Amino acid sequence: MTRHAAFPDFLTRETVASPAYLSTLSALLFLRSQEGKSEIVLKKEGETPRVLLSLPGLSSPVVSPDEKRLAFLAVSETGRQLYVMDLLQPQTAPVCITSMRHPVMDPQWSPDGKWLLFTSPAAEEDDEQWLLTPASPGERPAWDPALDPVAITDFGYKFDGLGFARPSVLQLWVVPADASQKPHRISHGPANFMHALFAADSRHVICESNLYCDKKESIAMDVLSIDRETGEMTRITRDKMVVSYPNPVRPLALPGGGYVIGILDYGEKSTHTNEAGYPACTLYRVSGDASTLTPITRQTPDCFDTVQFAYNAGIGAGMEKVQLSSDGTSVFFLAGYMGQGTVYCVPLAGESQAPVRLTDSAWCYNGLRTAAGPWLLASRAASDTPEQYVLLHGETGEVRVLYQSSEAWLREIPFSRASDFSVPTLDGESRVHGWVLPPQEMEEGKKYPCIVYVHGGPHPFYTDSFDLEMQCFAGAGFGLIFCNPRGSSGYGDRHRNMARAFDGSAYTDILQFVHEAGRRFSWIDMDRLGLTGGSYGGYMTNYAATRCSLFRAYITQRSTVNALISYASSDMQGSSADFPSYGEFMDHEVEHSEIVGMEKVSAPFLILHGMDDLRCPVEGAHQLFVALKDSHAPDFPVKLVLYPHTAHNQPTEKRQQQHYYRTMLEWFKAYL
Amino acid sequence: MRPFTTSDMADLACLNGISVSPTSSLVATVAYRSSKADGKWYSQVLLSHPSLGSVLRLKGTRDTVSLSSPKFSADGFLYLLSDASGEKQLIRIPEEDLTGEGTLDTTPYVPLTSFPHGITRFDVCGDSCVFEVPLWPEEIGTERALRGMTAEEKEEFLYQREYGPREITEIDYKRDETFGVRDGSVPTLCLYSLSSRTFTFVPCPFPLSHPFLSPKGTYVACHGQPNQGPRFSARELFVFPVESPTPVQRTEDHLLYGEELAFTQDEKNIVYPAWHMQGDCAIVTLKSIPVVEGESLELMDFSLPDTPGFDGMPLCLTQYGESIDMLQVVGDEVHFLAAMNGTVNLYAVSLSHPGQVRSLLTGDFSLHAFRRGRDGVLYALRGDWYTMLQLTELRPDGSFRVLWDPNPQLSSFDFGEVITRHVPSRDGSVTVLSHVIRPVPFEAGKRYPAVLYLHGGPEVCYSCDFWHELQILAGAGFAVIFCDPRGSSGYGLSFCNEEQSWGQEAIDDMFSAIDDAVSLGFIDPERIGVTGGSYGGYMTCKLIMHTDRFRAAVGQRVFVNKATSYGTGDMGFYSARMKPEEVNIGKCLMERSRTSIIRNLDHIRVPLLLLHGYKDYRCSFEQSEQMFIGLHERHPEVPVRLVMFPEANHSVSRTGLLPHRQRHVQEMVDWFYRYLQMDTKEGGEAQ
Repeated sequence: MTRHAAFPDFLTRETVASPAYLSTLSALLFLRSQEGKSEIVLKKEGETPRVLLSLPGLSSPVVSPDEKRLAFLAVSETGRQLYVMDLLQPQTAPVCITSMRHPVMDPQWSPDGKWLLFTSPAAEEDDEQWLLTPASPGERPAWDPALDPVAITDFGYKFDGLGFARPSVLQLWVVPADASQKPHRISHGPANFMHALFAADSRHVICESNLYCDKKESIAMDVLSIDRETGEMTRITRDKMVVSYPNPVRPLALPGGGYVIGILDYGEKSTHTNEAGYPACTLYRVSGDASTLTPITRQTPDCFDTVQFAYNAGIGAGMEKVQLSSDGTSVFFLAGYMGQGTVYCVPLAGESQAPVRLTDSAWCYNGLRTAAGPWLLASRAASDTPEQYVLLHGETGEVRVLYQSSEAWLREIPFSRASDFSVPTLDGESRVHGWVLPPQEMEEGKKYPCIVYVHGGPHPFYTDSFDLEMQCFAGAGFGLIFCNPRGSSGYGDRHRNMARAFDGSAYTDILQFVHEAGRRFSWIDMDRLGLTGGSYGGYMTNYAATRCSLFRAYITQRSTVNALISYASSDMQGSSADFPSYGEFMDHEVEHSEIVGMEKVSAPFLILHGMDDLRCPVEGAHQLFVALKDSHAPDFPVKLVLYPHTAHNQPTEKRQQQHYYRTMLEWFKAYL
Repeated sequence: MRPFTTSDMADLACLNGISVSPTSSLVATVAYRSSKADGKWYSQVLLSHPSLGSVLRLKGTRDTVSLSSPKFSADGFLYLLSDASGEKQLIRIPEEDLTGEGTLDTTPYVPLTSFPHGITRFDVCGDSCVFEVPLWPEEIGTERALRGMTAEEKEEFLYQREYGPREITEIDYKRDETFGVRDGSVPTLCLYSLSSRTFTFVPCPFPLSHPFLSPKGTYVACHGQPNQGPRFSARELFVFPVESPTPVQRTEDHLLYGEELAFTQDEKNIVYPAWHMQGDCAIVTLKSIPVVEGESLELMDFSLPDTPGFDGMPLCLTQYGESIDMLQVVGDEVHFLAAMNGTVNLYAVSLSHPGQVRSLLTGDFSLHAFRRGRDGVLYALRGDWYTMLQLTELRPDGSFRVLWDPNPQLSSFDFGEVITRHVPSRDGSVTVLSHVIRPVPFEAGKRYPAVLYLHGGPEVCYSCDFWHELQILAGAGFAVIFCDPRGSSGYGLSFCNEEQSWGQEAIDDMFSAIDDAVSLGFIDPERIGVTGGSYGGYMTCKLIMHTDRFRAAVGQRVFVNKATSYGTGDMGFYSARMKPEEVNIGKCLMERSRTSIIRNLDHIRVPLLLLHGYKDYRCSFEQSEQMFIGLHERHPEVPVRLVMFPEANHSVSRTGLLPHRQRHVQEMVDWFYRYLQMDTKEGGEAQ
């Protein structure tokens, strides 16, 4: 071990995505990206990885069902297009089979290997030929977000990360894999069509769409089936909300016809407009004619859910959440269980069966792919081990490691291992589970400052997956304390109680956990604690800052500040329906906003926010900063840092990202 | 003759500023036009030879080169700014090169400066130039401050502009004028000796701007911002000798106003505009202060009747850019422009016997810049109801000669006739000046739908000047009613009453204007719409919440919810008027919630269109979202539409991109057409 983790490691980290296990070659194929370079890598078990292909903007590799061809996306001068290459003759140049005006996304093979399905934006009135012609250099875009006014007449006019609704929406296209015809559009309507795949007959396409959903229910989606030939559209679900955001679960097509889909248990009518209100999910088997929906899973003490909103898993990109066993009899799925990304198995036949848990708490799993025989391809990580691809035995849970990413780091850096524990909540209603991550290469007897990190949501949950940001803080001499207070999923319905996340219970849960951490670990310096978190974590930071004196420094990230601002300016607008007059609604919202009491903040306060954040609107950050400055002496340390072109996330642009972490580190170093 | 429409906006040219050569042989002004290619504004310098009656247009290498800020020096040069090199730099042209007519290509005149981010303002006198240049703190005192950026530096600069995180530690960190967070540059002054070609930066830990050289070039007077915290934007007067450039602060808490200062001929005093506050009333006065030592003296006595304030911010779009050349010391007098009773005319006040303001030139027109040449001839930019600004020579009797008309095409339009009315207020305490424009074409005996167009501010006013928006509405078949209710400037100190402008008095005045307009007989009282921007948008929303007089409304850049405007707009800091430890945020916001007009949103029954720039940091865009979401959620039966203009600020309808300005007006016209052009209340939609 030669050095500690540090934030510049973000610039050189190896990321892997979209793996496939080729049973004919007994090899793993995946996309590897590092320092701006993307390549497709083939690794046979026991051999060193071989680079098959390296192209600018390479992404989304998908292997054909017969494992002979590979479809992928790459960026040429005409934008992001779809390519096909011969896996048996990898030295021959890939063939570009599209020339779309707008970027191609999310390619999928038909089971017969003859067709490719993809997503590409189109407006309802766009001419298909125009969409099939790339823009000529210097051509003014059909819609310029910096110039064209947006006329708003209904809800849902903006979405975080995408900006204001543009005329183009995500539409589905199919193209013969041999490029014998031009692509043609199979979806129509002023709505998004996404998370699509072919049915077993290679003719029908199933997808998720908000075509029939109320615009007010911003993330509501149905499952639809579209006939590739006739364009006929059939609605498979009505008044049910499929899991589409922020952790989409692509439906599963069954070989004999029919599908498996994940549905959120809202009851008969989906009425929730806010991601914060996610209930548990159930998997349903849909008959081939879409006439019957049968639940195949049920909640048990060993399985609370059939979907996972792991906050810090950070692995499994380009993989699926629900997969079928090779023999077609079992369904594997991922679900949060006691703070860990967990793989489950349930029989496809039957009704409301108890899923069997395949993995334990030692590793966080997030991403599945059907592999070969009883084996399943999975992605996993642990707090001290970056992402690895493994074969997981679908019956025994046995594991064979196929590829360990960032191997060099494991030789150089003494990553800290998190320890978990739990404490009963003050009200006795639940237990708070969480982790403590010690500083790297801690010295015996020395005390260390600690950062209490609160997750967003609040429905996601922390895992002890590999978290580079936390490891970088640990490398800089900070301990980290992070837990899953009330509102977090993965601990059952009672713990997930949304009201408890906002009524002060989650706040006391966090304080309980922090105090217990202090009792258990003598190296934690309880006089040098900092508090931070993003989104709901930012809410909690703001909430705590006006109420307690435990923390010596605060960093609030993309936080909510004023409920009235969020009501109208968040892309997930609120509701005033419960109030007889708008004035009463206003007073209530203001009174229950985190901004109230900001004059009481007594420790240095840093606000970090993306200027394009439409979820927790950046207007809130402006108001928070002005309120803190207005109510404190001029020398009280308050700082606001705004990141241009950044939505409701930490910045991803490299220099911004480095600035972001440097700013956080310097703030905590200065005041802890 | 045809009605004026939004497409005709593309051909309009606006003027700004005036400069007269020492021999009065040349008069310069700047014309601004929007490019039909990219919609942005570009400027040209135009020179008139009054004696010859000819005009010379200065041009750059390309149409997209802007030339601006012409200034003549005593030694026979015209100095101006050209952005041919990418940034505004100083060029100079000998007067003998300017004798012809037609066009003169300025490309051969090599810039005298190469400031990395160009020049904002400058002045020249004798051997001295003084520049106001924006510099970033890391550039101040380095060699880079005087040379253009290398390609590498430029790339990094542009990256930082686009992606650089904005680190904010001071409360006054954003302004609508800067489209949000200030870019971090500091206005800095730099002296330049024309003979020795040496540059000297004026050392100062805070921003210095608006430099003016004294008549003999001995001193520089300028604005400075010595305060931190909530009063950062307040400007004070600073002076220093050119020979030893250490700025001395001459005023404290004087709330300097506008863009101009003027030295007296003897270089002993400086005249400057500043706010005069009295109770709930505010007006701009002129003050004089000795250059070296001594107290300032207020030149206007507002206890005397009919005393106008300086300027008055008349509304129009005939001038583009900051109001300049509105102030000149002539002998023992200060001559200045002021809005008064619906016109902007020329006034004078004595420096030696201050108090009484003397009217020099009045009439039904508005002046936007003036300069009196050495020969005593008065040159001014002049406009009226049907004429956009023209460069004119004005005679003492108010008659004039046009030296250059940038908009000759306007003579081919059929403009609505403006009828001016003096309407007694309901409480009988004042007379409200109100105007009605007849629709085009106009048929006697017919009754027309009407639009009440409210101005912003509220401390601004309408004046006898061309405003295209009003004529476009008239051209679309609407009668247009507009007035200056209580709170407006241009009617003396007591009229400009803040309490009354936000209270019932202003509303009463608006209704008096409507009642009076209806009494003219050609307005259908059942088909009246209301619109306005900023304060006018506030009033638009308030009026449709509290009355049923209107059938449709267009709220432009509205201000409706004070609980969310706090901190999101660029005004309203509590610590500017109380101690930080006395500020209770919850109490403040509850008070703001309880006094916001949006509380009464449930009363709205009429179709509402909202128009708002996304980068409006005066009345933030979220204000319109508050109206839109609240109304659409609670009263889905009420038609509501919000049009967002990307990258546009509070001035979207005045200085925004041409396609934005056109769309802005057209949306309004279409909305009123849809909801007012119906003959019966229950009738179908028009069109």
